[in-house]
Amino acid sequence: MADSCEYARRVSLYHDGELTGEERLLIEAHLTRCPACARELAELRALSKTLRESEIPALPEDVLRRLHETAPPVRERVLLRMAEILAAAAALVLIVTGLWIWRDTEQPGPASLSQWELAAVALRVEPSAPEDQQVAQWIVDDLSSENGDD
Amino acid sequence: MCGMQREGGLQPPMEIDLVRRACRGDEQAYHIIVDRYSPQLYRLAYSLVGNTADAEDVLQETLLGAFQGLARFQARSSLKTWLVRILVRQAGRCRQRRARHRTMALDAAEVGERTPGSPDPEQGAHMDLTDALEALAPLHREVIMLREIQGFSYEEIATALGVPRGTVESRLFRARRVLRDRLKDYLPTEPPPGEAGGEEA
Repeated sequence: MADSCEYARRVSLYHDGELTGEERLLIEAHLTRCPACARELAELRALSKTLRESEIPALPEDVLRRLHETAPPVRERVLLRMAEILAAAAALVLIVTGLWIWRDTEQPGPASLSQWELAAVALRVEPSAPEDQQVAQWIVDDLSSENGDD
Repeated sequence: MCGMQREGGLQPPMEIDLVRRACRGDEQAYHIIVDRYSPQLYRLAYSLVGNTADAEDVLQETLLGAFQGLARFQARSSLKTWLVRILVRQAGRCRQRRARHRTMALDAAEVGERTPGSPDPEQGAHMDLTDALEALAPLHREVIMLREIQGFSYEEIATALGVPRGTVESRLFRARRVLRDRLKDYLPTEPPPGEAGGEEA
């Protein structure tokens, strides 16, 4: 068979009219002296003929009518376009919200606190150390004396 | 219908005008596209999916999808090639759906219809051709049908499938080898006497 001939693929290209003029002449010369390639070409032609004559039904009239009936009306196309834009916007909102929630839940701790939570933490009154209490008492005593409380 | 038509399509300026009109929502343009391209697309759809019901579905999905996405058509290929590209993808999806369906529930009636052994030789040859095509790998089947049924050149097939031209050559060569081996009982094995060649396309 033509499997053993290095020109087999070129015969296929020749059969399909995919060779340039010079290549075509070369193959035609080769075909006259290579029975395997000549047989290959005959088989290709027979196969193409069989396929082209195979029973492929023509487009039925009722199918064509249905295709015309399913033409998307202009209004529907506009609505579809609007729906696409709205869907894209909704998807964007969902993604951003999802990312925000994920960020808050996946990274607990101070880094995830909102501004008002940070402010609350900053304002929290810590228990005073004994030294601080002493200093505060001195200030109170000093102010009291200046005001003539004693 | 429009003048200046070429085989299987319109002249490029006419195509662009048609697409522009369709993009503006001109339904008449849609109907022209349906009339012009449906017959060939239906045959291709049938040859890829193997039955009329699926062929109709695939063609309908192709036209609706194409009409809704017409704004993305940039005339780098012909409108026909662009439609074929969409159809080939839709046919692929259809085959996948069918394969999943068959996996879940075997369709006994269809299996029964395809039982070999018909006493009619012509019917037997037809069944063998159908079986041989059905058994081809989808990539091989696509390239065979685009070449033999649509009459596409290698360049057009490459554009329609989105693959390099060399890939088309390889797939077509292998697909024909497979088909030739399966159909050897129906194909001549001897070359015509005294004939050197002469291509078909």
